[in-house]
Amino acid sequence: MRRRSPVYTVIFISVLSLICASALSLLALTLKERRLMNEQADIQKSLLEASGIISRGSGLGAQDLRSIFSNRVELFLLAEDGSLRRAEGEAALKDFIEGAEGAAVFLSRTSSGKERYTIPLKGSGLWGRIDAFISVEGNGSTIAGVNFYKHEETPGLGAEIGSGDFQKRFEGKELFRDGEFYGVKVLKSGSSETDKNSVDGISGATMTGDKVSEMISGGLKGYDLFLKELKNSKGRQQ
Amino acid sequence: MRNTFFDPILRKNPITVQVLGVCSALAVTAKLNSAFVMGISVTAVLALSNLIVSLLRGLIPARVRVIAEMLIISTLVTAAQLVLEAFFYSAAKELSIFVGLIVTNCVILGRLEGFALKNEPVISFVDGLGSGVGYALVLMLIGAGRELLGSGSLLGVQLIPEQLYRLGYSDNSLALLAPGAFFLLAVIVWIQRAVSGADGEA
Repeated sequence: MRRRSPVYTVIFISVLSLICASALSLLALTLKERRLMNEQADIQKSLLEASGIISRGSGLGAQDLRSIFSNRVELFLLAEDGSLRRAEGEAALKDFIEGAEGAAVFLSRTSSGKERYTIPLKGSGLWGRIDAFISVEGNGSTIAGVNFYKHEETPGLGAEIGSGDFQKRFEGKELFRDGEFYGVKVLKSGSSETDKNSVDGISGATMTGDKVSEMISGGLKGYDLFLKELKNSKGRQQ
Repeated sequence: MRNTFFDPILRKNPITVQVLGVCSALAVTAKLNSAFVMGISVTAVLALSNLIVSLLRGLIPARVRVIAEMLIISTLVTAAQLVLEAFFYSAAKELSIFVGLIVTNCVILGRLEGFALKNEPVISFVDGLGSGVGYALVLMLIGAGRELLGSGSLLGVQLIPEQLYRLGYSDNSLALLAPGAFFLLAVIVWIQRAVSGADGEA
């Protein structure tokens, strides 16, 4: 067949596409297990960092992370009435990673025995999805830490939400305001004083900041009953 | 064969002489580590796509030449991304979208169009390897400069001693931003042209 004929062109491109697609699928399948394992280790690391069990950039390997995680963290699922039901370890975590829906709460204990509740957040950023963890102290309101571990924000601007510097600004802030659930707002960088319910934003990334505020108040909406209960029961216990 | 490999490293360096692929040279060079991983990935994609296109050069219809080339490049780039995610997860996470953007790196299309379509497979592979190494070296040079000036470290190891900071030295955060990369790149181009006597018309 002549190389200039349209039929040859169509056949050539089709065959080439087919070969490329098959090669990629094969590679993706072969590496799937490893990539899932890495992703799981990364999620465990992010959660442990958010809840303050390990420090940021600790450089722990997948093995260490897994053992710390299984010793210190328990996964619960949230029922509609705000109560928690224990979910079974590793398999439940895998379901969580692979996107099984349902409200999850991770209970962890710090080395000083303080209970912290870490809640996964999924929201949309400026360009793509943002995945995060927000860790709340036993009083249901004070933030122990956050970690925006997966995002597609603009490198150098919005992507700074992934930096330790920005995430530290959330520590000690409150989710409740005058007894009602409020959330934490990310303000425009340097625009005004921050209070208990707001943090300073990133300059050049006001939109990403707004999306993060939305994600926190929106993502925790389903949990407000649980957090409220936590806040009240804390009062009763002491 | 020797010249095919060594020319693009110095005399015809893709970044400093041909001024191709500059955007990635700015984007991923804030740290030496990511510059290194990016350099390796681009070299692999470049050498392999050169090889494949050269093998297929008698079969590719002229009318859809660039489409076929893009298909091959994007397949290799996606493969590179998958391999990085499987074996170098933290590096892949740090480079984020820039691995995928290798597709748009004009060094690659430039070498396919300019070399692989007209030459034998083995020499095309060597040409891709040479261009990739030339690209990677400049990237790592900029990466080393930016990390040293901007963070006082190399490969994450603190090099500038604590005492110096106490004496009032502080890291130059401009080096971490894109303009800092521009300055460093310009200095590298300047030095190379001053030494080689090239006037930019090469």
